[in-house]
This record gives sequence, C-alpha cells and structure tokens, in this order.
Amino acid sequence: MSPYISPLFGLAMGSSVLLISSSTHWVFVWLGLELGTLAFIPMLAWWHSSLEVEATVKYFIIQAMAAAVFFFGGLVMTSTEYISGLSQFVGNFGEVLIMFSIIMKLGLVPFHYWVVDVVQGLNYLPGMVLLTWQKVPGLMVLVQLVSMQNGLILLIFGALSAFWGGLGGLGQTQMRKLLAFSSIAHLGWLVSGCVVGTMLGSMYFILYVVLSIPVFVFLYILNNTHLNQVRASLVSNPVAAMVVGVGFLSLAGLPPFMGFFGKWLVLTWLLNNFLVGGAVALVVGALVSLFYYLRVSYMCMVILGPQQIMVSLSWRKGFMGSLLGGLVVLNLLGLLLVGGISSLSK
Amino acid sequence: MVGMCGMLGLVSLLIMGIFLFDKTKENLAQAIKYSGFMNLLLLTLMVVSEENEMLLMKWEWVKLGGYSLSISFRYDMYTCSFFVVALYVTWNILIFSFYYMSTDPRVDLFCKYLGLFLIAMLLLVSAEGFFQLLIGWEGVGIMSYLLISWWYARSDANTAALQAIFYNRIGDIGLVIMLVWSLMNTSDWTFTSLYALDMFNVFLVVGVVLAAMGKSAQLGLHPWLPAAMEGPTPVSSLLHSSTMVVAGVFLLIRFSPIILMNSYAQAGVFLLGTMTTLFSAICALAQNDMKKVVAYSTASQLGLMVTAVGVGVPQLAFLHICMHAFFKAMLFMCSGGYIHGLQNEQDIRKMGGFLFATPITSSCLFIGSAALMGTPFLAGFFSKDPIIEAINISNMNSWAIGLVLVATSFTAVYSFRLMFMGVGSASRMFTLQPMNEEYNNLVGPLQRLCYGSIVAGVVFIYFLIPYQVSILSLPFTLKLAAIMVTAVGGLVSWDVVKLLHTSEGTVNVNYLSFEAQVGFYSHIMHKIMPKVWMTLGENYQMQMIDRGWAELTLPQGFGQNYKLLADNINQTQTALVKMYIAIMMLILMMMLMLIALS
Repeated sequence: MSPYISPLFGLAMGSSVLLISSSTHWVFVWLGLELGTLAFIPMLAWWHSSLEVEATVKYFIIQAMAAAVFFFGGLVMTSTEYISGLSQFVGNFGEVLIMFSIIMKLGLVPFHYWVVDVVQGLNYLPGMVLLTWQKVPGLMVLVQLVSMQNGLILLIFGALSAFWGGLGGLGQTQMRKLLAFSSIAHLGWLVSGCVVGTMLGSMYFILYVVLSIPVFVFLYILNNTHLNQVRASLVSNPVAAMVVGVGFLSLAGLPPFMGFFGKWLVLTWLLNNFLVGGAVALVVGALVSLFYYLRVSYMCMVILGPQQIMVSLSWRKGFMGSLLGGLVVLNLLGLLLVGGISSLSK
Repeated sequence: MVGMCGMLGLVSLLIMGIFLFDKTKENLAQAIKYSGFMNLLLLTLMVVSEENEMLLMKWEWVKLGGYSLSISFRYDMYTCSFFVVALYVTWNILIFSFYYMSTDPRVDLFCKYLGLFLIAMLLLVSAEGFFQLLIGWEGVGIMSYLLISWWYARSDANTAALQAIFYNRIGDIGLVIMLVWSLMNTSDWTFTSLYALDMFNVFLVVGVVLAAMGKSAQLGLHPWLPAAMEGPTPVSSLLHSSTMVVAGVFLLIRFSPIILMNSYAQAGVFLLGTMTTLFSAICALAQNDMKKVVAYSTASQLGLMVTAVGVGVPQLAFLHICMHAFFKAMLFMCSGGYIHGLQNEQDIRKMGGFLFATPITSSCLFIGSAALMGTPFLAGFFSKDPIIEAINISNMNSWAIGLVLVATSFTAVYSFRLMFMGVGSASRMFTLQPMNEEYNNLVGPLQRLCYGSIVAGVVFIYFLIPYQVSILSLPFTLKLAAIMVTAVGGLVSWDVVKLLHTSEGTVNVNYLSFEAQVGFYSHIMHKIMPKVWMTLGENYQMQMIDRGWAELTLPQGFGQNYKLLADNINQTQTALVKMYIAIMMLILMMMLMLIALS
C-alpha cells in the first residue's frame, strides 16, 4: 500500500474520536465508531502477509458484529423509551446491549477471544495502535454508560479480566500473545477505574499507553516474537533489551515504575468506595500475571544468551542511547508522581 | 563522713577502670590492691563513725522525653564491705593467675578480663538505679562467658561457656520482668523508690527469684556452674568467690524487704535454697574431679545463702557471701596449685599424700575446708552457725530444717573426703611429677587468703549483725546443732571414702551413679528434652507443615492448579472466529436473561 495514503486514515481515526465526543445521539456515536474501525483496517493489513490479512479479517468480522449489536441496542432503546439522548439512559435492554457491544469492541473478558488471535497475527506497530489508540472511542462511550447496574457488571468483568489475563499469559511463549493477555489484564484494571471515576479511568489509560508504547516499539526493533528470541536480546541489542525489561517491570506494577502508581491509584479509589472484593480480585490477578512479566524481564535483563559472535552491534547507533534515556525516565516518572498521588483527596 | 567515704569509694572504682587500660598487668594488680586497702580504711571510718546510713549519688546520663536514665551510686554498709572483700580477694587471684597462667601468651588480656569482671560486679553491687544494675548484671554475664571459654580451642570450654550464657539468659528473663515492672510502677527506677512503694507484687518477686536462680545457679538452673570448671582455675576462683554467682544472692538481699513481705514468697525462697544446698551437697559426695567437688560445694553454700534470705536474715546471707569469698577463692587456688603440679591432672583418685610434697598448699586446703565446714572461730563459723541457728528457731517445718542439717553435715563429708584423697593417704600420682610450691605468686595469695579465712569472721561479725532481735536463750542441742551435724558428717566421711574407694568386690552403686551423674539432670535436660523437641519439630513442623501442607497446598498446589487453569484458558483460544462469535452471543444472551430476571 502506498505510504502516502496513511495520513488520510490517521485523519479519519482522529476525526472519529472527535465525532464521538461531540455527538449526543447514539447514531452519530455509532457512526464515529465505525469510521474509526474502517479507517484502521487498511493499516492492519499494511504488509499484506497472509497472517496479517487473516487477523484483519477476524478483526473486521468481530467489529462488524459489535457494530450490529450497537445498532440493535440503539433501536431497542429508541423503540422502548422514546429517548435518544445517550446521557439520559435509565437501565434497560438497549443500554445494556450498547454496553456489551462496546465491551466486545474493547475485548473485555467474556468477549476477549479475538484480541489474542488478532494481535498474534499483526506486526508490533499495528498491534500497538490496536491495543492503545483504538481503545479510545470505546472507552469514551463506556464512561457515559456507567450506572449502578452497569457498574456492577463492569466491575465483575473487570476483575475477571485481570485474573483471566494473568492466567492466559502463564503458559505463553509467544511475545505478542503475552502482550495481548497483558492488555486484557490491564483493561480489567482500566474498566474498574472507569467505574469508580471517569478521570481515574483516563489517568490509568494514559499511564498504560505511555508505558506500553516503548515496549512495543523496542520489541519491534528487536524483532522478537518468541521468548527464545528474547533470551538472546541482551547480547544483540542491550539498549532495547533494557527498555523492554524495564517496561515489563512497569507493566507488572512494581513500585519504582509508573505502572505501580496507576494500580495504586485504582486500588486506593476502589477501597475508598468500599469495593474491597473487586480490589482483592484485581490484586490477585496482578499477582498471577507478575509471573510472566518477571520471566520476560529476567530474560531481557539478566540472562546472557548463547550467541556471542556474528551479531550486528546495533547498540552502537547513537540515537538509541538518548531514546533509552528518555524512555526509562518516562517509565521512572512514577517516582515524581509519588508526592502528587499520595496527597490526593480521599 | 559517709559522704566522703562514698566519694572515695567511687574514685577508687574509677581509678581501677583507668588502670584496665594500662599495659602491664602488675600495675592493675597494684591498683586493685591499693583500692582494697583504701576501701578497708573507708570501712573502718564508717564503722567507727557509727553512721549506719547510706549515700546516693546520681548522675543523669540520658534524658528521654519525660524519663531519664541515670547512673546512681549507692554507698552503704553492704557496698563498702563488699568492696573490701572483693578487692582483696581479686587482688590475690590476679597475683595467683600470674603464677597459674604464666605460660599463656595472652595473660595480659586475661588479667584485664578479670579486672573488668570485678568492675562489673562492683557496679552491680553499688547500683542504686536499675539501669546501672542491668549494666553490672549483663557485664558479669558477658565476662563470665569470655573467661569460661578462655581456652576456646577446647570444645568443652565452649560448651560450658554457652551453657553459662543460656542458663543466665533464662534468669535474665526474670530480671527483665522485674525491670519492666519497676519501670512502670516506680517514679525513678531505683531501689529507694521501690522500697518507698512498699508493695508486694507477684511478677516482681517471681522475676527477682528467677534472675537469682539463673545467676546463683539454684536448683533447676544449676548445671552451668559445675560445667564452668572448664575455665582456667583463676576464673573459677573469681567466679565462685566474689563475683557472678553471688550476684543472684545479692539481688535477693537487695530485694529482701519486698520478698519478706509475703510469707509464701519467703517460704518459696527458703525451699529453693534448701533444695539447692541439699542437692549440691549430695552431688559433691561422689565427684572425682577436684574442681567439681569445690564447685558443688559453692552451689551448696549458695543454697545456704538463699535459705538465709528465705528465713528472714539477709544480713547473715551477706555475711556468708563475704566469708565464703575468702575460703572459696583459697580452695580453688589450692586445687590450682595441685593441678599445676600434677601437669593438669584433676582427678583426686590420682592424688594423695600432698601433705609432705606441698605443706603450705595442703595446710591452706585444710584451713579452707575447716572454715567451709564451720569450725568454730574460723570465718565460716560466724556466718554459717547463725544461719543454721536462725533456721532452727524459725517457724518452718522440721522436715525442711532437717534437710538443711543433712546438707550441712554433707559439707563435712565431702570436705573430709577431699582432704583424705588429696592431702592424706598414700600418694597415687605418677612418679617424677614436678610437684612443688616454690612460687611467690602461689604461696603469697594463699597465705593472705588464709589469714582472711581465719580472722575475717571475727572482724565482720562486729558490724554485719542482723537487725532482728535474736533469741538469747536456746536449748543446748539447738545451739550446738550445726557443730554436731558437722562432727557426725566428719565421722561418716570415713565410711564414704571406704565405700567409694577402698571397698573390695561389688557394692550396690545405683545411688552412687545418681550422685556421680549429678541427678541425671544434664542428661534429662540436655539430651532427652532437646531430642523430644527436635523430634516434634522434625515430624510436625518440618515434615508435616513446612514440607507437607504448607508446601503442597500453597506454593506447589497453587502452581499446579494455576497451570491447569492456564491450560484450560489456552484451550479456548481456538482461532476459529465462528466459535468466538458463538460464545460471545451465548454470553450476551445469558447476561440479558440474567438482567431481565433480576
């Protein structure tokens, strides 16, 4: 595909978010969602490999089905309540249907099966966009749907998601599947945060994006798709390996890094709202997922692989050092956030 | 007057502390000697001025919020007398260790340890604040550990030192209970405020008695005392005369106003002392190691001191501490002389006939044993006889009193046996042993302590008399009871020697092995009990919990179950979109039904 057309798709994806955020009617919300999806699909199949095309088709089918459910929900709502404003919902089927369609689009746990397959088929960079930017439209709708009943459902799914994401990654040796499960687990935290407070959810999402981008980028540079390749990364490209290792520690939520503060924030707010069960479930899920995060970090930062000769010493490239510095500092921004977060009003 | 005496006593203590840093051991000995003489002068001044009062000097050391730790110095008749006795005895022991340890390359350090040991004990005795008491108490414990394990290459010495530390730790629990209770209940953590409180408390008294049990090796916590014989003889001499073991008795004496408030506590202390003195005397009968015989006799005398506290005459207990210091230090020196002469042979079955080889040492052994037995007008008589008398006229039951009398008579039995096997009879040692006593550093201390053992009683009884009004008229038999039982013991000792050493053929020796194995206490407490605990720990804690349930259910079990779960979850990733959509729709329908129903 010609690279000159990609700005058009990017523009469409951006305007889809604008459309969603500025509309008050569900039809236009639906339109925005579809615009974002359709603009993204050509980018998924950028290199035209068979795996990518298969993943793209799967993504399209699932998204189309979710869009159908969304539309159906909107119709149900209009026909039963005669209310078309999204923010004036009371609990009914239409609203629940719309919420489930958004959950399908995001890939929260009972509807998450496609995420792993799609991410496994894609290259790292489209995968990164899929797991970060493409969540924005869905989340923007979701935060408007939180009511008492929906909140309970979302909390249960969120906790389940954190746990499921941890368990799914335990036996994985494929890096992209690991990242997909990690994303599912983080989505669980994110949704729980959204239930407690919109700003909290946004905060968690921003933290997740900031700390997962370097991981994706450097895995792309390393071109590792399997754990065995990761094992050799410290020799072939120590800078990238260190960034990936630190990034995984941060994703795991270990204290000096930024990932910890997002999780801490969510836990604090959950406990302040007396949602102890949800908090415990999230923590247990994080503990399970810690296993594979630590395994990857260990392979990236501690083990020296067997290949000692015939490696291209790409770490000699000067820009890598500054990039590394910037990204590690970004990950360590958590240290600066300590004061601000600990003084948050309860 | 007492103010000046107290100041000078404190100054002498500080000067000795300075001399600990001196390079030559002779200077330390001189410092201790002159301090002793100066304190003798101070004691004379105090006695002559007849001011039976005390001086308290307080120095606020650390201020902690509303509380302060203070070093406070208590100078009264006990402190002053003990300073004189301890300094005099330690001076002689230091001189003796120049002789005994002359081939030891680290003899200078050894003498410094002895000096530090003494200073810790003097700090303990002169303590008014409990903080200083604790420093002295723990200082004595640490120095005893270092000195008992002086020959650290020997495993027995290390074991003995560890035993001393462990048994004293048990006692220290009691001390800590006492300290904490008084910290919470007194105004400034001193003896004065505790006396002023005028209150009996079970925790306080149990803590004090437990602490005294550990330090003074009373029955139950006694095994470390004979084991401590692994240390060099000067250490045994110092440990058993004026430091360490009498610290517990001294603590009881300081706390006696509180203990004597309650008749049950008093009876408990009495029984503890009685049982200790009897048990140790029985064990001393069949020991063959010369130092062990003397060690058990120390334990027995300590029991007698505790008995005296329990019967309500703590002044006599203190008098016995002072008298005991002279002759017990001397007895150990005599054994040290023999052991040295026999090239480190301690078994009394290989001694004998030393009266001719070493007349001075043997005479001193005789005088010391006579004083220990309470022969009239020697040092031991003036403390032991009034104690027995006080026990006789107390309202304890006659069984307890009878046991004390039996123990007293056993003193004579083991002393006579020791003398017969060592000094008397025929020589059983190897020929060509370099047995002689041509050393000034051996004979000098022996002579000086010998004078002490003879005259100290006459001097000290002048001012260390009980406060209680004593009964002036006593039946003839009760008045002479102590001497009578001792005489009977002396006669019995001949039979004991015959039974143990000269009898032909087989005798029934079951009770003898009880004595020789010191009541099987060490076997039960050091072998069987640890084995029981080890077995329990091995079977239940280790095998069942640590390696069993805790391991298999939590880490291993969780791991297995999570692995199963993870496998199942991975099974769901079939990569078939139709399946995914079917599952999603199914869940969607179920959720909608659930919401409709609720």
